[in-house]
Amino acid sequence: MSADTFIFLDHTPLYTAIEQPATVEKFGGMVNNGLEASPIIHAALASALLVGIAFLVNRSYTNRGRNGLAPAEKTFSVSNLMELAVTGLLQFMESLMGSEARRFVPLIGGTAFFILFNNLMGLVPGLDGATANFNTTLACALVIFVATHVVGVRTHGAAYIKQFLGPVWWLAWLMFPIELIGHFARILSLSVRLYGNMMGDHRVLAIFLALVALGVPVIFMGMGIFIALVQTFVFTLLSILYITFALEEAH
Amino acid sequence: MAKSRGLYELLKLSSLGLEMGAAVVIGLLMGVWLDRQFSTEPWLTLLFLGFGFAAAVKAVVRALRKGIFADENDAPEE
Repeated sequence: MSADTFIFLDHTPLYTAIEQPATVEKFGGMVNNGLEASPIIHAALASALLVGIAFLVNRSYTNRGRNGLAPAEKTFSVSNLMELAVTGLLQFMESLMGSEARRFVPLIGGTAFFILFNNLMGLVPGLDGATANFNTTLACALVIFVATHVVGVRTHGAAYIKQFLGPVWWLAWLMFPIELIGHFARILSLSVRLYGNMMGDHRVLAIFLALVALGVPVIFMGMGIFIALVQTFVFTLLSILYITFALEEAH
Repeated sequence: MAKSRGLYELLKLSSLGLEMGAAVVIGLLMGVWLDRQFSTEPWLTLLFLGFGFAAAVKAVVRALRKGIFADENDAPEE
């Protein structure tokens, strides 16, 4: 942006912090040096939005009183919508994990809503989703990875290592590195899938906006909403499965 | 319910391809790193590349066992 043209956005707070192209091209631009603030600001925005919604829902519950389980209002409201979403998530988790599901709703639900909000924010003009940056998705995948192993150690204790050693003891030296590689591959596949889909989606949308500004990008926005939902669902499904694998006995 | 189960299976299996590739890449990177540490090029690279391939195959076997045979009684024995 040239300095002599006065543009409204140049004087809005935070915009200069977002737009400065201070990335170091390393690993094909996948990893930046931390100076580019855009994904961090957008992740913070999504988190703030989620915390705000949580406060809103919590307040509507306390207003209903102690036994106010029935919906207070029959109209469309944020709290009803969130209730529907969280109930759906819990039912989905129970179908995969059984009775253990309730313990993991905060972890899985937290990552799921964070990713969903970021994915959808990427479609709003002027905003950008933090999940289109590899650092954010890697952080999400690492949270799931660490949680998986913490859950495994807490349920099985030291016997958790048996999951890495395979069925027979004389093959353990061979199975251990294979299982280890498999577990690290999960981090990579979780993070790269989400990052690649969201980044690719944004690029396609940007290119078609530049080519034909009217009409045609709507198709890709529809596709973008679909991709945002599906990728959130896939990330959630896979993190549930990984935790379920850690919960069950050694094979 | 059967239809939505089919969708879950589809999404689960669709994640398999990326996991296979990631396993090979992780194995290769681990091998290269270990070779640099112990200066034993190229043996550990080759060994861990093999481990990576094995991990990829293991991911497929596991997904088949958990996914396709999950509801059936004729699941193969361990």
